[in-house]
Amino acid sequence: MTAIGSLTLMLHQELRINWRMMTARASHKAALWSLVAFLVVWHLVALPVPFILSEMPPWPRLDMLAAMSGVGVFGLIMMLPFALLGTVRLVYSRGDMDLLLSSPLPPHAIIVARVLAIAFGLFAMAGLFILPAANMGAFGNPRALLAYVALLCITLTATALGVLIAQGLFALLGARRTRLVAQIVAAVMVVASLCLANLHNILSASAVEALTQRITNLAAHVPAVDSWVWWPARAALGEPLPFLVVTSLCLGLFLVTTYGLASRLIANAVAANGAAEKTVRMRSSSRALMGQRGPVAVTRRKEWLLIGRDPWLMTQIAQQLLLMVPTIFIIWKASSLAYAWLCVVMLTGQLAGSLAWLTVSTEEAPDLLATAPVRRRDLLLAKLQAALVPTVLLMGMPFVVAWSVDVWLGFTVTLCGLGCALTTALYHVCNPSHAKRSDLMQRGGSKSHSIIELVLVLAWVAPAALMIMFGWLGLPALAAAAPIAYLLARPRAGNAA
Amino acid sequence: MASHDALRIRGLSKTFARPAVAGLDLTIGAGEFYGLLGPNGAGKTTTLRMVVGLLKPDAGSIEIFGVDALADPIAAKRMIAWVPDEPLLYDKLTPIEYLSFIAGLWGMDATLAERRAQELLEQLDLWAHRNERCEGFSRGMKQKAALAGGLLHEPKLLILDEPLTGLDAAIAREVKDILYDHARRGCTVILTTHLLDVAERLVDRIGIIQSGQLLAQGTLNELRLKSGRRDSTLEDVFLHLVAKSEPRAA
Repeated sequence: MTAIGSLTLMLHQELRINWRMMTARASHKAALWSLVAFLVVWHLVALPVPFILSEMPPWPRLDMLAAMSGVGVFGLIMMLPFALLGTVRLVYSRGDMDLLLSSPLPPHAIIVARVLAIAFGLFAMAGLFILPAANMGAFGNPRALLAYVALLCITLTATALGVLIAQGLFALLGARRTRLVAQIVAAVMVVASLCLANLHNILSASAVEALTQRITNLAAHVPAVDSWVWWPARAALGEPLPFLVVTSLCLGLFLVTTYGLASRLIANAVAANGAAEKTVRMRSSSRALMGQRGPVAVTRRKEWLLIGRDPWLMTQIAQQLLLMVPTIFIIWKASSLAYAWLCVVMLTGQLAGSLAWLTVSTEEAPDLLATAPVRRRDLLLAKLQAALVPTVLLMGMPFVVAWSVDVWLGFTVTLCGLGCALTTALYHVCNPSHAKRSDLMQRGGSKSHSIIELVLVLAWVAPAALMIMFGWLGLPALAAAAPIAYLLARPRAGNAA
Repeated sequence: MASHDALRIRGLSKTFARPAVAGLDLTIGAGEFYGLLGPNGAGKTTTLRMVVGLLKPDAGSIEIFGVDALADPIAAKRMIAWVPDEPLLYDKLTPIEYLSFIAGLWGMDATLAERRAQELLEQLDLWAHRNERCEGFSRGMKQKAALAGGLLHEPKLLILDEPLTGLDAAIAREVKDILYDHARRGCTVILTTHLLDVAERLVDRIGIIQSGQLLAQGTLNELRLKSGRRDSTLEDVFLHLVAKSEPRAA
């Protein structure tokens, strides 16, 4: 098979697998119709775009170039963590690398196709939101269609940088640690870019004013309109020479990076497989479990050992919690510090939900537990405790701080936080679904699990907000929310404990 | 105290899309090494999963050493160990931690469990690996660790579903020796296998199941007589009996 033929075959395979993973919980037809409906709605939302574009000046101004460059850089920063994680996943998570590398396909074609699939995924995800505006904008100014090329350049650049960073991590840290560190780096990037996007909401009025002043001062040193700094923005506006140079550079960076590093990525994939099988020797730890009396204690301890020994999972949970940081700042800025404490209630519920989902839905030996002479409710109690104890320990400090700020605030946050933790954990314990640990963030792809967990969290945040707002007069809301939360959390038919 | 059969099944039925087990009657005496054979989809695994409490039967009764397993599953489970073809292990635990966990589940005395764990791991050549996480183990080592888990609490009834699948000759031999040894010491062992030569050499009595019903059972000689093939191997007898019953099953 020719190199192009191999590349086409692999790319087709990659896109088919990605599409099936995306639509795993829906039929092909339903997914396709949902996509079409989304695009139609988004095109309708973009109806005013041609009118906005028709009022724009014909020649680029400095402020327009600066704004376009800012948007481009921001898009690049947002895509970078996903490109990095995609590359790391390419090396680690897909079990078919041995099959592909033992096939007569050129190894470079396999890697290039997989990296291209990452770029295509980024293009599709961003394009879903951006390109309808470009399509509608084309009615006012056909140059709006250049957004397709601009987006392609940004995704290719982000993917190439993601591959470079991943390769750098492999070289620095080795195959065993790269996945964990990449997860942390990506989480920090996502949180940083969200904070950056919400800077005006996060900073105080005086800080925003000072920042604006600094930016205004910097404007004096900004290069002139004809500087090469603005070439990417000018390329996006369709100026021939910048367009040619910038698109060639982006494409060149992508090809050089992908082809240049293909051999190393293959070597990393082989090393990663070896690393997974490498022996991990522990200190003698039989006492850790032997010392525990009874099935509840021993099961609880087993869950803690398993969670503690999977640092990748810990970073996933930490990432979930870190994503809450910008929200805390936004609520703080928009209302008052008291309402920012609502995020502690949400965090407590999410943390307990994540841990409970892990202990129940990713149980590796369910048949062992089912054949043990232990009542099912004892096992579920152990799993509930395994989720709740670390949650309370981790969130204990924020609870104590809330009490020290104000007794009523402390009471509200602690009561609603613990209630939220209990019901989200109870929900997952009573309604298990078998899934892989790597599906933690998507709760195993179960939309109902994610939605019910969100509803449960809101069922406790709402009365907490009313209690902060109206004092003890908010207690009836809590009295109404608690039974609703319990009803949602209790076992469904067929999942009875 | 009255002596009971190790396993007594009456009228056991389970239907999924089609009947998997259809009114099965089966009795296995205490201390027997029993081989449950049958073609793919015959209902062997479904039957055993109902015995160990992983599936609820639609109808019928299961008694384990005189205990009604459906009415008092906890008491029945205390006497059973279940070792399926996919090892019931935790990748991030070491074998010694895994055995400690099982000891906790079965409520064993910690000192006794520790001594027994050491004996089993030494017997299965896993003692040197006792502090290594199972994630780095080969399939054979995992299967041996799972078997150690099954034997730790000294079950009166050991049930194994295809325990030799994917094992190399040396490890398969070790597993067979251990099973044989336990059967000789009075533990009742029930195993399913597609390796008919293994069944022929290892088990005392054989039951052949097809379409969820017991086709024939007895010692190899009794089965030979029943099939009218005096000097045949178990494979010949098995294929003959299954082929003969196919029109009836259809």
